[in-house]
Amino acid sequence: MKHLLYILIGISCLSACTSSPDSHFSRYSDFTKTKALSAQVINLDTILFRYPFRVTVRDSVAVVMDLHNIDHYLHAFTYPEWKHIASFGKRGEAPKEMLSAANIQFNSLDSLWALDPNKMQITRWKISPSTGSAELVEEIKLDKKLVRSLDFHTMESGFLIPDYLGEHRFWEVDGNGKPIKSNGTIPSETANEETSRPALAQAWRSFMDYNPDNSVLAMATQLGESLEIYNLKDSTHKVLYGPAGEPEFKTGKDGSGVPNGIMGFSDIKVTNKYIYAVFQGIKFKDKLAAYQRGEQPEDGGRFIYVFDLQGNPVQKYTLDRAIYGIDINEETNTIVATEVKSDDPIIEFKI
Amino acid sequence: MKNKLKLVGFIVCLIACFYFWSNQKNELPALVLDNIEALAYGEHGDRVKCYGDGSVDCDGDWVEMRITGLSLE
Repeated sequence: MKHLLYILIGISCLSACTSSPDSHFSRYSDFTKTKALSAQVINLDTILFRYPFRVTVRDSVAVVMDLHNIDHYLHAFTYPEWKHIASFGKRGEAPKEMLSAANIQFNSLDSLWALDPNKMQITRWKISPSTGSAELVEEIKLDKKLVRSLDFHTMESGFLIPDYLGEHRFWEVDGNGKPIKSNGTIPSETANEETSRPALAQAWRSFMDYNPDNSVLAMATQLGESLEIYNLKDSTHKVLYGPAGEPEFKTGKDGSGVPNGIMGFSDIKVTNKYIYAVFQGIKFKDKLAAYQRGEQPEDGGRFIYVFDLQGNPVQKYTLDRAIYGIDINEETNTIVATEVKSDDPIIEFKI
Repeated sequence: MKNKLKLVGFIVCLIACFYFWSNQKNELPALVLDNIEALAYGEHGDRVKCYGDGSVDCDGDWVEMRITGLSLE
């Protein structure tokens, strides 16, 4: 009887080890404050977007990045009038043209940065509202060691770029595109030695934002519901999991990561006080089921989660539209957002 | 002793069945599986399929979904 008991305990332990991974990262579930927000539509009479993925506003100019535009990836407007200034970042294979666009960073009129992952380069543009033009002033080739860069942010000197191969979390890259320092690891609770690192990195593809005023870098996963907050000044690091947990994926036959589970975050912004993250939470299988019913599934997030800089959940905004990219202005309490499959692709919320 | 062995075997089978079931719960509904191939065909080869216009990275494109085989693997 004793032996039988030992065997049973052994099997139970084995079963527990295989099905219940460690959960050592912080969890959030509820937000103390919730608020519903209604969109105000911006009337654009000049530009037809196909998939306006990112929007950024600096003083009196707004720039929209279109992920699937057939002519130009980047479009500048006056703000808040939204009169068209220039379309630039022409799609094409010729020199000075772009093969793709993944994100933009707007620091000043002569520093609109754009990341082209297919060309593996970051370009800098100068926007001139008075002449209605935008001029390419700098091209930075990214080192082959980075393989493929899907997001970036400018820092005091150079760039921050997520790691593509899964050995690290992100790179500090110098102004010539050379990686100079790797940081962190993917904070997975389920990955083990057998997990394909590139597949893991693809599943953990994250959007990032960095605020040089407080040295806070925040990353949010496109799949699942995981957030990371790095303070690059004091080298502290916090990982947060939401109710949907870490990204779910399967490893494809070609070794790549294939998404499973849910679409998670769509964009993230770090201000001087808070971290804002757009959250979708739609299951891939529900998207497929929508197609099956002959419906077009919704693409975008109906929630904006707000955390303080330590990662404590502060506020949850529920939106009447499904949005993708956001720009936050805490002085005017305005969120400018993009809606990717809409006839009114640029909207604003008052918070 | 024989009875004990049978009992252990039964429990092992029970645990194996439970483990197998728990790994299957992410499969797609049968109705959806019927048409996945139709959705996925015509895109990017037969290993990982890229479907729709979206923001998920897939072989240099931005797509709505990446699919392999007949399920969301």
